[in-house]
Amino acid sequence: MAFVLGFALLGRLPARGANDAFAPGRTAYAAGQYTNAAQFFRGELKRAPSAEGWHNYGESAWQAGHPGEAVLAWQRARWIDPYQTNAAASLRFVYGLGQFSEWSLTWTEKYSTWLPVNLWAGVAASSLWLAVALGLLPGIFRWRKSVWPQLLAALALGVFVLTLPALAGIQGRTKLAVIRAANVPLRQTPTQTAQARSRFAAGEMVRCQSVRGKYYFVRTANDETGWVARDQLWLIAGDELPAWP
Amino acid sequence: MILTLAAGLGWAGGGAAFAQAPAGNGANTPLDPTISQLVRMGVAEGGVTADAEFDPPVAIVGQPLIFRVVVTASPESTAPPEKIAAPPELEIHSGGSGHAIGFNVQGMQFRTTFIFWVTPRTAGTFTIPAFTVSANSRAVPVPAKTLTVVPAGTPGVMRAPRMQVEAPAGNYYIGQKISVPVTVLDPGDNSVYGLGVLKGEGDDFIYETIPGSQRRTMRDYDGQQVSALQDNLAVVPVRAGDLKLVAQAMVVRRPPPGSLQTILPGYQPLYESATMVIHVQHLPPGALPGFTGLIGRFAVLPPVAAPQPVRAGDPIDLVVTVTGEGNLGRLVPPRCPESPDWQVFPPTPDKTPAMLIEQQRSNIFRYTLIPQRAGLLSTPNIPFCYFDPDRRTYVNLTIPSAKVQVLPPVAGMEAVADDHLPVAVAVASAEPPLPLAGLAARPEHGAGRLQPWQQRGGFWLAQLAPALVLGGLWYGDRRRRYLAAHPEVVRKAQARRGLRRQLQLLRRAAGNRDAVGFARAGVNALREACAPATAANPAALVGGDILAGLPADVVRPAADQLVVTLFAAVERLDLRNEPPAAEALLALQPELEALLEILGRRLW
Repeated sequence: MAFVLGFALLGRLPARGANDAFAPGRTAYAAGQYTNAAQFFRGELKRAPSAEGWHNYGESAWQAGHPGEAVLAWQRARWIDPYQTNAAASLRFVYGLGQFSEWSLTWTEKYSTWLPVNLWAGVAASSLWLAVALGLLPGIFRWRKSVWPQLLAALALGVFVLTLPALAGIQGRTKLAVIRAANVPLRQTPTQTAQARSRFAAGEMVRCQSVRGKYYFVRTANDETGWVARDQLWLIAGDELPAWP
Repeated sequence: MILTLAAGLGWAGGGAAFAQAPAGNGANTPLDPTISQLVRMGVAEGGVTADAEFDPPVAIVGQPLIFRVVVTASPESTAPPEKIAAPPELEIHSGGSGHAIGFNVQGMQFRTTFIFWVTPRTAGTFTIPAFTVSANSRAVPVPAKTLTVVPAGTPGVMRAPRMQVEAPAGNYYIGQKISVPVTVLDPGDNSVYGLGVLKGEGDDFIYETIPGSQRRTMRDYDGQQVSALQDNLAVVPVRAGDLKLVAQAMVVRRPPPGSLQTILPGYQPLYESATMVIHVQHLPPGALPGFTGLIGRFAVLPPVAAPQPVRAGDPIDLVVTVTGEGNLGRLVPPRCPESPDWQVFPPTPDKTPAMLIEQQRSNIFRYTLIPQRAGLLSTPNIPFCYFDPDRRTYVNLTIPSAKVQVLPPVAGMEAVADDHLPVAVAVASAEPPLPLAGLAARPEHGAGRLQPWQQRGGFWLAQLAPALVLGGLWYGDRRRRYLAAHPEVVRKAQARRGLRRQLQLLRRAAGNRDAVGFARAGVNALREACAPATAANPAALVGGDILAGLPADVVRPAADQLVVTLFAAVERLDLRNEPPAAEALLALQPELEALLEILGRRLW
């Protein structure tokens, strides 16, 4: 159990890197060389992804006029570390500009942001096996009858049940995606020549509901549905790095 | 009176006159169902008549004239005469057909006209004998008609109006709009008053009328200047090659004496032109970006963006005006290229009818654009071009950009003049600026992959470890409890193992001709096999115990004798140190193994 929980906590452990690991990027950013800063942070993300690296990349991308990359970066920073307050503040700021609609999460998705995504899975697995073990081991090893193992097993089972909505929320959040560029069309059918029902601004978020060929069937913040080419969006929980810069 | 009647049915505008395909092509094109139904309600179908006339009634040798057959029935129910038995001096071939609606004393009446072209070869008087046409499934007789043909130069010969098509000079391409002048020459007596709606014949063109283009002019008619009515028929070729064009129209004219117009009040004779051939080419390769099929000569006016100023996120209209001559009515606006500064929507074409667009010579279409940031923005340059058929080249007509003053997106905000800040930055007037959060100093929370554990196969595989451990513990405990409750299972298992071991020793001793080893192994094997039944230690069993435990299916007394022999041999060996008779003892091996086989089956 300790192994599973410990493994789950790895996401909260300090990433490799010295205290001044981001210094070159920060220097470029301070000098107004946002593209250079973004290039540095992108390299860092490629080498060792971290919530802070994503956040810094997002800041640079935003200042350089790449809102799609910026929103993706902040969302990924929050995905890795839900307590990443800097990324949350930047997202609030951007949504406050009114350039695109703020995405509202379902209650299970909001609930799942209380802990890092993998910690939920770790807690769920640990609590489940703890409950099972506490139900089996006293009988196997003929432990003296006591209320504590039963109480602990009930507690572990309760924790496991509480993790289930969060796991469902994480599953929902893995389908969220960010539109890459401006004017990406929301098409009526999954074809290149289909009628464009509307167009997105870069950085808008959609929920991918199904996939057919090169297109995702998505639902927008305004509850519209349609098809978007797969190469026109990034999944927040995906591992693809933006090509820019 | 003629004009009055014609106006009553929209004749002057051509509303009730329809020119159709040549009669030689077969049956007429069906009339529009709605009109047909409405008209039929008031049409007297009882007395269908048919008549014919030569136009002009006196012809000149070698000059083609029209032989016109008119049936007072709808075109749907009328079939053209299959064959007209003309005398050999008259060369005859079919032309087009058309219909109109007139009035007689009974009310409205269809007049369907079939045209035949007749060319007299010699002078003389020739008669086309009576024939029949099919109308309303009946054979309607057409009376015989006589034509007088005189030599060229004969004075006093009346001419007929002549319709001719004039091919405009130039190069013609698929999709190009060509305005073809159609002229009706007056015979010289000012008897042609007007021209009905022009029609074209054939599937090689799209035909369009150009209203208001009819005018009177002077033209040469076989060496004589005559008055002429000229109109324009717009055609758009739809394929390449030498395409044939024939124009048709009803002509309003003063009725000549004895003509069908005197018999059928309000009848307007159908005329058609001789065939004109237009050579149409494919557009050449090398179109510039933004070519959407525009052919002619055009110019684009500076686009107008409105309203201004606009807030970021609010739409503006970019109005583009294209002027010129050509297929302006069918202009397809080019797509606006994407731009990071603008959200671009597909263009909205000019909704004005194509006919009016071409009369006005300007097509106005618009783009809806949404600025994405504040500042003085320029709309994207929109690639566009047309093909000039005269110069045989594509001409760039790129729509230039327009300047748009864009304000910050919401009230109380203003744009920040910062070259490095291309997006609109909100600066609340009453509150301090809301900055971005700033950069993190170092990485603190790493993540190998963003895919959550619950979606990775490794996570579910890892769950097998505790499952296997706990499952193994549980199964071991369950087995232990079972064996504790069923000790015979353990004894049998031990007996099976012991029996196997003793059988191996037995066979080895028999192979070595070792009678002592054979006897001991045989006795021990019998003890192992019979021990579970008595719950005793196998070593403690004596021959009596074995005999008591022998099953019922063993052949007795041979088995008893075998057991006794073996035990006796071992006892003699142990107590008296007297070795057994080897040959006699080893001969018992098959019998002993058969007995052990039976006993071994009980151990399962």
